[in-house]
Amino acid sequence: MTTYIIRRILLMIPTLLLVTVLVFLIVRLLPGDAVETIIGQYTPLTQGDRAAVKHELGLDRPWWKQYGDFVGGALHGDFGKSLQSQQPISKDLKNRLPVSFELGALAIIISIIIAIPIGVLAAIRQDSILDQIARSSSIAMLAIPSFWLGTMINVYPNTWFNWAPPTYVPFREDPMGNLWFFFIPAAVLGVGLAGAVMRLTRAQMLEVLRQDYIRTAWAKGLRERSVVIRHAMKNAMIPVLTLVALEVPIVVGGAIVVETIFSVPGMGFYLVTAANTHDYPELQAVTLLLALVVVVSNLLVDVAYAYLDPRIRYS
Amino acid sequence: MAETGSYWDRIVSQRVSRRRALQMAAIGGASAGAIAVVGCGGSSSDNKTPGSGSTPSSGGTQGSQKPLLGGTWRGALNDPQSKFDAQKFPTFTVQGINSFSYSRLLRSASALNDPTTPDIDLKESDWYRPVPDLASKFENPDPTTFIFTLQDGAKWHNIDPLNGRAVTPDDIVQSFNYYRTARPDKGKNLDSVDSVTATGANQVTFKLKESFGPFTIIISSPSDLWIYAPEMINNPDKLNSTMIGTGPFVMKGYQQGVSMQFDKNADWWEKDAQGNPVPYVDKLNFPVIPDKNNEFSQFTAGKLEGITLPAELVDPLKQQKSDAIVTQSIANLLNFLFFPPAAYDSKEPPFNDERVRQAVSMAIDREALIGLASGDTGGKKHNLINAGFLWYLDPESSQMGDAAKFFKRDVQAAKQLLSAAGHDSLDTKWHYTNNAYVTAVPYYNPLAEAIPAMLRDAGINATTVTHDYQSEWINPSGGIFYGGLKDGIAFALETPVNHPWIQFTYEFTQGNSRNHSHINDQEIIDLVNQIGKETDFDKGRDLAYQVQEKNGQHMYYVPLVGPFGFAAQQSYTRTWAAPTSYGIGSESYPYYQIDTTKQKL
Repeated sequence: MTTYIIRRILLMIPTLLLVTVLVFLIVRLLPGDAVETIIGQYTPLTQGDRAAVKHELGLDRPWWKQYGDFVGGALHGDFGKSLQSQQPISKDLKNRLPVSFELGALAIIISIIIAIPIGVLAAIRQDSILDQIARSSSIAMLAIPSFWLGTMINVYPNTWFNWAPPTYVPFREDPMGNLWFFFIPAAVLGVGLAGAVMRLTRAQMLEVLRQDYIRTAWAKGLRERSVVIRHAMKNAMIPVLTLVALEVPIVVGGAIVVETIFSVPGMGFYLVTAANTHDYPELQAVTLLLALVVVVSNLLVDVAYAYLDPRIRYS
Repeated sequence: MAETGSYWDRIVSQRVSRRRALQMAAIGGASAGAIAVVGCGGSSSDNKTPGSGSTPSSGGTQGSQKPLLGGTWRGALNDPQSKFDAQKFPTFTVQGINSFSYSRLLRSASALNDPTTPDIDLKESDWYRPVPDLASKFENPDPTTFIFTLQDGAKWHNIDPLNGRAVTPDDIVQSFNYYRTARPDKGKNLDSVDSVTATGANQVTFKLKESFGPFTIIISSPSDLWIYAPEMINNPDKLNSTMIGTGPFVMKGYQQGVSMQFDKNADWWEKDAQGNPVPYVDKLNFPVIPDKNNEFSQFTAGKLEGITLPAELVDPLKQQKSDAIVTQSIANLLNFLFFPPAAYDSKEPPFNDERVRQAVSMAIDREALIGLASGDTGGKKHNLINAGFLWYLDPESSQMGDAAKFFKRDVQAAKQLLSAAGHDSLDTKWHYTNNAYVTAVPYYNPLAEAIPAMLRDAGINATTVTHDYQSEWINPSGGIFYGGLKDGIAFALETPVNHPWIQFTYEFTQGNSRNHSHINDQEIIDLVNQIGKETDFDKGRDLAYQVQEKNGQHMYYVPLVGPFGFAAQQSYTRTWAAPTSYGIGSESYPYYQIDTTKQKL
């Protein structure tokens, strides 16, 4: 197990290195000129003026030097300065990462709260009305895009009740206000995630409930609750856990739209702003962090697999 | 356009009774949406020269009604503000934000207002009239000398490292030096300044190389000289991450992408006409709300005092919140057509022939475009100075002479002009950028899609070619906007600057990147140079009219239309000063008032 974990961690290094190359190159392939968006288009500049600004921003250095600075800095947790604000990016990330993690964690919790009980109930009451409703709902949850649901929540309660979503307040200033603010965007994200989790939970439970050891449990005279929760769910949840873990990066990426709609000052909103303004260092930092989240969450899933299922042997 | 007629009838009666034009409500005022409603006005006959000497305060209460004091005004930032150094980063958003905490020597006039109504009464002659800001007065003993006297007791905000120290003339000198060195264009607008020196305990003198008419207007513009303390200039990180100035509001909190807060500066020098100190409100709070639906919801739920409003939300707002005060003004954006530089550089047909360019203009139905752009809420035909600016000449007025006819749709006349130029019909291309203005200027793409059909009626068959904004439109190396148009007709948007000399210099002088078509008309260049030297306002304006008339005659640029922009504010607010520039923080917000007993917190 230890060897497996070490090997996986070592494999992360070339993966992340490749990501840094791709990220570095792709952001520079974006059409347009960072100088224009930073200086503004309202000041006519000569080519000389532009070159001077580019020099000051360090954008005229050889690409390999810029790349070296990016990787070298990232290894030390220093992503450089924003071209826009001229402030250290790590300072921005320090403010924004907790916001996105809070949103993502709440979204996943909400999706689990919705999906697992309903998925389990749908499985143990297969083909009942409850099952039909659960399956239809899960399809609806998968089909409804988060930006549409978010917009509807912004528009209709306002039209009917003059109600508006709360605006952001930091947790340390007002914990309840902070949780209330996050509840709505987290619910929007969570509903989208719940559809897939619910369907997988149902399918896994149906499969497990047909296993011999479950039949043995029934034969022993155990109560339904004990059979379902203690015997069936434990095994059925392993693939579900994988799916939930793999949703972590989806939550972070998918939150871009939801963060914009609900004015959540997290990584997604930061990424959109960076892309709009051609802020290369910010784009590189955020994309690299997202890649890191994907790689690490994959690793954690695999490790969790090995831990939870003794049949799995990686050595 | 009956509705627009009645509105503009009021304008031409020499006094603009504006229902909160540029309150720009939300600080969105400093954003693209806000800039879109900057400026409203028209030609009038009572304009006066922006004078030298002591000028009156720019706004405040009138009559005996007491101002409403205190409270927190809540607006919305549509963009996450990320920088504050308006010299190094001279974008209009940074300049707009600067106006809350920093000062200029002069600023543009705001409107005095009748306090019994929410309307703003603004004399057109006040538009862009320089009024005191950090300088209480200026003297102009000869055409090349301007002596500014600083406000008595002016102090920097009481925040480290300035800690409320007194403003000195040397601060102005250092600010000007910084303007010259830090600006990407090295302060070209004030190239005429030869020297700036402290000439007394409270005086600073600007010596010009030669007489320069737009000097005081440029000094008062938010686009140019902001007064920063040397302690901030010498600490670039601090200068770009916070604001410690002399302006009406002290920056108290800022988190990028989250919100910005200000407290009123109790030491600000300005008083209203009754002697009450301003700002009236105690605090400003601007959460960042990028989504327009969310901003609308926050307003109708009573969580914001003011917002800017797209035309399509005006009726829903009136239905949902009938007591909201909805105001309109002309959008401060110039849109126009231009032709390939080769038409002027190498006389390449067909657009080297002005009859073809005139035919293009006459094929366009501007009334229909106004309806399309505004959703039938109204608008105005632009000239080369866009509608809403003091120097704007109505393209259909008698002063346009024979050129007025080119601004009216006349398909038969257009065909005759084409025929006279040797074309029974004309196959060409129609260029526009389709991915830049979808949100910020929602009427641009619909206009771009409608105009080719109008041209076709006159026998001009223009095949549409769309362009990516960043890589093909504003790319400094060969972008269409910067002289890279190879063929056909291009449809462009441009934010006007605050003096016609600057704008015409951009558009007509050789080598300027904003001379989109490389136009080289010595007659116009001479007129532009005369505007630069003319210190008499009326004469300068007449020269600006002449440039517009000449452009209309030759149709170097084909001006189009501007729809109205909208803003809304809560019924319990009073905003008694309309700014004329996007320096809204010092020109308008100090006069905002809230009836706190009716405010929902």
